[in-house]
Order: sequence, then C-alpha cells, then structure tokens
Amino acid sequence: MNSFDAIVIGSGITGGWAAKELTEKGLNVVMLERGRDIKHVSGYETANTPPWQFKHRAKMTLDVQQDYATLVRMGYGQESNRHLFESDKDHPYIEKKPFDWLKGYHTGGKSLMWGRHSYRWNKDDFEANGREGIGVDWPIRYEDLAPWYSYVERFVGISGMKEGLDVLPDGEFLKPFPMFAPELYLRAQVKSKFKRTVTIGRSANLTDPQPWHSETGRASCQNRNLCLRGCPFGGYFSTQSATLPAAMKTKRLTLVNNAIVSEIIFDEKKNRATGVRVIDAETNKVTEYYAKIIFVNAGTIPTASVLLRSKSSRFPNGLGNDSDQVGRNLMDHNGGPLVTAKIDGFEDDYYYGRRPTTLYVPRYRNWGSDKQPYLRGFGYQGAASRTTWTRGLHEKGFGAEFKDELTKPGPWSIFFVGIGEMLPNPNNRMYLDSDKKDKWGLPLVVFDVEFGENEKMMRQPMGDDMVEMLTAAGFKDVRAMSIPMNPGFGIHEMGTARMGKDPKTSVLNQYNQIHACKNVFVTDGAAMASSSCVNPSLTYMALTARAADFAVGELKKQNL
Amino acid sequence: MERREALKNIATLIGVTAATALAMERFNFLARCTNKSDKNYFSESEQKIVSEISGMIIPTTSTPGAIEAGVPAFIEMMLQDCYRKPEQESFQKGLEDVEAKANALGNDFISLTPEQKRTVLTQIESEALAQSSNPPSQVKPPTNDETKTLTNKPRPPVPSFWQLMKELTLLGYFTSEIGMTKAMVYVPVPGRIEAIKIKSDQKAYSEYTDRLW
Repeated sequence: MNSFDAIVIGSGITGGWAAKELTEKGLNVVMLERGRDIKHVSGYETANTPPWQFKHRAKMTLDVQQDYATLVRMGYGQESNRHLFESDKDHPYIEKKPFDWLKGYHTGGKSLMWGRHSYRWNKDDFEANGREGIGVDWPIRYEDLAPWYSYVERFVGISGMKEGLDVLPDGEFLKPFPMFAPELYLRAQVKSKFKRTVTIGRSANLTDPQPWHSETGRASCQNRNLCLRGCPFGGYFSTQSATLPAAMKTKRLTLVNNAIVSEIIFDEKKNRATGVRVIDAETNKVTEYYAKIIFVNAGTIPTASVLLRSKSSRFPNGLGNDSDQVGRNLMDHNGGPLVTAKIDGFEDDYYYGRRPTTLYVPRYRNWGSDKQPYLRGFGYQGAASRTTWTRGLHEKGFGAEFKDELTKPGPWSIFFVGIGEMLPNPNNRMYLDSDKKDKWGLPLVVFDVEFGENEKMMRQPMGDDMVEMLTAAGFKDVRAMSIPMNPGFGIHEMGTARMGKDPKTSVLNQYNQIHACKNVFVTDGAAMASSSCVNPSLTYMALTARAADFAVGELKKQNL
Repeated sequence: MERREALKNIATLIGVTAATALAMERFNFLARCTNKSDKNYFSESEQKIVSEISGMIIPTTSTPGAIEAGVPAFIEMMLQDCYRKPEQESFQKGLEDVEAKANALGNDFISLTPEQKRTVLTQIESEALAQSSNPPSQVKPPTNDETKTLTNKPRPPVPSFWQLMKELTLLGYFTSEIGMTKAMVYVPVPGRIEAIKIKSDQKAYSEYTDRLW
C-alpha cells in the first residue's frame, strides 16, 4: 500500500513541479511534506486581514524576537506571516560561522513566500566555471535548458519586458508591470549615459492570465502586494496555486503531510534506492514508502541532510557522496550595499495599486568588453516610490500641519540593492553534527560558510556603480549604506549536491541523477554548480521539468 | 536585540546552537521583565500625559486624531510587549522630564495652557535632536576587508523619549483603521496598477508592507 511509481520529497517550488510533471506523464506519485498542510485560499489565514487587526502591527514582541531570532534578523516575522516560518526554538541549527537559514515547513514550502523574481540564466552562466577553472564545469549548456525555461515560464506566468540582451535572455512573458515616471526617466538616463539597462522585474505574478492559468483556478494579480501571506486569488505562482492543483487533477498524486524523511533506503543487491523511511512529525511513528524513482526536492539544505543521513555499506558517507561533495560548495547570493537617493520633481506623478515587484538592472560587469579584477558580476533590484507617512519619523515637527503633510504623497525616493554572484568553494559547507539532535532524533545541521575574496572585492563596486548612476541621473542625496548580511540572507542557498561531468568531483549527472544511484534525482537548489547573479528559482523549475521528462523516458525504456 | 546578538556571537564561537544562545538570553531577559501587557502599566497621571502628547503630535483636524484612533492604549501595550528595559526606562525618564519642565512653568503638564504644552514639547524635541549626536546614516559603502555580519553590528543608542513617543504615535495612528481609512485612502484590493497624475488635495493611498520599513 505504500508503493508508488515515484516518491517526491518536499512540496516546495521544485517538489510541486516534480509532482505535476510525473503525474501528468502517468506515474503514481506520493509527495512527502515534512510540515503541516496549508490549503490554497482557505489556509491563508491572514490574507484578508486589514493591518489594524494585527495587534503589534509590523513590530514583533520580545518573545517572538527571541524564538525567531534568525527570522527577525532577516527582517521577517510579522504577525501577518509568521505562521509561515519556523522558529529557531523548534528548529535549531549550529552556526560555526554565521548563517541565516530561513525555513518554511508546510505544503508549498517557500513557494508561498518567495520573492517571485524569475530570470533565465545566460549562456555564460553555464560556461564560466569550465572556462575559468572554478568549481566544476556544468554538464549542460543554456541550449539544453532553453526549451524547458519556455515550458515552465508559460505555466508559471511571468510578467516582464523583452530587452534583447544576451546577459539576461528574454523568456515567454506576460504583460509587464508598469514602470513609474522617475523610473522611466532613470531607464533613459542609464541607457544613454552608461549603455546599461533598467528594466521592470520579471515576476511570477499573473498580469494577463492565459487559459491554462485559469484552468488551475488562478486569477489576475490584484496588486495588493500582500503576496507573503498566500494569495487567495492565485495571483502569483506557488505549489498551491498552480502545480498542486495540476497534479491533483490527474488523480495520481498522494500528498502526505508531517512526513519527515529520515533517510533514503538503498538496496545493496539491487544497487538502487528502493524507498524512504519517514518519521511522522506529530506521532514519531516510522513508516516506509517504496517507489521506482525518488525525486529529492526538500530544499538545498534539507536535501543534502537527507543524503548525508542515508548511510549504507555502499555509501558510508551518505547516499551519492562518493565525491565527498554533498553539503559542500554551499552558495548564496552576495548582497551589496543599499543605495538610496531623493528625487526632485515628478510631483504630479503617482500610482494607483501596489506593484508586487521591483526594477531590475541586469549585470554589465565582466560582460562584453568590460574587465574587472574580480570574476563574474552582479545585478540590482530596487524601485522608486513616493515616500509614505514613515518620513515623519525622521522629520521635525508635530501637530495639525505635520499630520496634514504626512497624509499626502511624499517626495519621490529610490533605492537599489546589488545582488552578486558567489563562487562555489568546497570549504563552504554544511554538515551534520555528530552529537546534537533535533526533537525527532535527527542530527542538527552545522554551517561553516563565509563569503570569499571574490565576493568581497565585488561589494565596493556594487555600491559605487549605483551611486554613480543615480548621481548621473541628477538624483539628490545619493547614499550607499552597508547592510551587514550573513550568507543565507539572500535565501538563495544552493550547490550542496552539484551537477557535473565527473562522478569524482560532483554528485549529480547532466539529468540530475545521482551518479552512482541512478533512480534518485535531485532537482532543487542543491544541484547548482554555480550561482549566477540572478534569482535562481526559475532555473530549478526548468531543471526539474527536464529531469522528470528524462526520468519517465528512462522508466519507459526500462533503464531505471 | 543587540544583547541577544552579542550573546549569540559568543555562543557561535563556542559552537553552541542558536537555540541555546536564545535560551541563555531568554533566561536573562525573564529575570528582569514580565512581558505581559498590563493595562495599568502607566499610572493614571502618566496615561494622561501620554494621551495628551499623542493627541498633540496627531491632533483631530478635519479627520480624527491619535486619541480617537486608540493610540494612547496602543503605546502602553507596545512599550511592554515590544520594547526592552532600556527603552522602557528612557520612556519613563522622559515622562518625568515632561513633568519637570511643566513644573518649571508653574503647573503639572495636564494643567498647562495649550501654548505652554507646545512650549514643553518643542523643548523636548530640540533636546532630543541635539542628543542624537550621530547624524542619520552617514555611511559609506563597505571597504573590501569589511566582512561585517549582523552579529558585530555596533549597538545603536537607546532612543529618546521623543523618538519613542513619535514612532509609536505615528505607527499607532497611520496603521489604525482611522488613520488608514480616514486620514488616507485605503484600497484593500486595487485590482489593477497604473501610473496616475495626482489630483489637487490628493491624499496618499495607505500602504502597509508585511516587512518593517
């Protein structure tokens, strides 16, 4: 009764895709989610709560500041969304070096709370490792993934503007969100003075739903910008809004909640994985599930943890860990300074509605003829807006006039944050503590990760360049402010089970199969051999759809 | 916050878990604060002063002000639930200072004339501004060898009474139902987004983000 064609571990952004693709191709699938269930719409308990009903508004009580320290230092944890995140109290981890690990254990995982920026990698992102001798070369190229980018983009629904840039390949876009007057002005200035591009963010929010979006019950983005609470309109892409209903429609998906996979079971005689062992998060009862293939989509850190916990005499250091690379090469993105400026003028310009995305400035460093002392590059996210009442916190005054002034749209201001590539480094790793365990008896994760020289070299120019651009555009009071960021702050952790050509130096092959255990696929952020500087989720989704297609083909050919 | 970070930093060095570090902090914290909102946290006279000042910062005009929006009780609750002892003490000292300044004018604060009350507040404001010796965010981009993490962030000075009073009044008012729907324009479901030209007497659309500003 616990036998299926496929097991998918995790129900986040890639687990959802694996479940959808495998069930639509005819497989009976069980998706194991370690956390509780959150139902689409009815499970979004704060989605329609007006701000004044949150007792402490956007602030956090002292209790919360203690129990959710990691979350709070990352700027999350408000009463509107805290129920979607895990506390340090219940889910401790060890920081040999500081690392921000944000977790969302429930159906949909972090696909409910993600930032939704969706960018294709460019050709060079797949080639730079090999050319520069960094980490390992990717076993695939842009051309291998391009059709899968298109495939997932159409289903996800990504709003954006075609720019015709090699550095940021265009995709299948829905209507872009508007850029506002000062943003359009900046775009023109930056184009003419620097030959660089300021475009609107490519965001997984439906601006123009297509029939296949409506089919899963999704409606147009309502511009509430409350995505972080779960969207009752299905306005943005998540497991709940899109891949889960598609998979459920096949009637071939079983979703099991509170199912913590303690390990993958490896059969020495058959030389393959036969199933997984699961601890019930509430009862601690142990059960096993069996399947022909296993997709590991638990998220970069939990995925590596599952592999490391899956010890056998064939794999004494963890499943697929012949290369000793599982848990290593952990990357995040390299955050630059916050650059802000005041904008004079545009006093008549305003906006109706709240835009759920920002601007994007694609990478231009070490691109084309540009050469820098560091490798790779960075992009920026940011936006212009009219200041709100919060300007009153920094202004002198009180009384009727002060109040009156604060109820009007304030002067325009703008901000940008640089987001840089982080190079893979085998010394940046997570591993399992040999002694300390969580409440299910599973070893705690230890982080030993720090930004390297290349990342540090990139930070100064990330600030300087944007200061230069905003100054050249004539904006006032341009400042760059260092934001202290630990690795993990970007919530783009990746690389702990990298793809590669050589089983001696990598964990996965070109189809995301574990080199030495071909019926186990890893298609979440763990698979990444480098990090690019663009947001990674779209690439994970494309890799997942491609691997699922390959897996089903191999099953049909009886190769698995 | 800063104390916890410092403890956590030490904890990290000796390799204990985040949770243990937090437990250490929790113990330390519980020893000095109950963290339960008490409706009589302020004395009656303190309640009157807080109420009066919040109403002076955001008075009733053509739209209701801070008192109608329930800001005084909000401040009393927030100080207990979300602020630590140094902030609480700073606030308490500030209230005493308000009384002292009023007494210098020959009365208790509540009994002063409106003009005298404004004089006291203006004085408190200028002293608070003079006190915050660090001009706001005079910060350069980090140098290459700066590898600051959140754990060694310099400790910010304890905010003055005036900063706390103003922050809590503005937050309490502009995120209240009255502030969001009467003082500004609240559109829970905009349904579309577009660039517009402002009308004369355009009020701001209420904005609320799920992250701190």
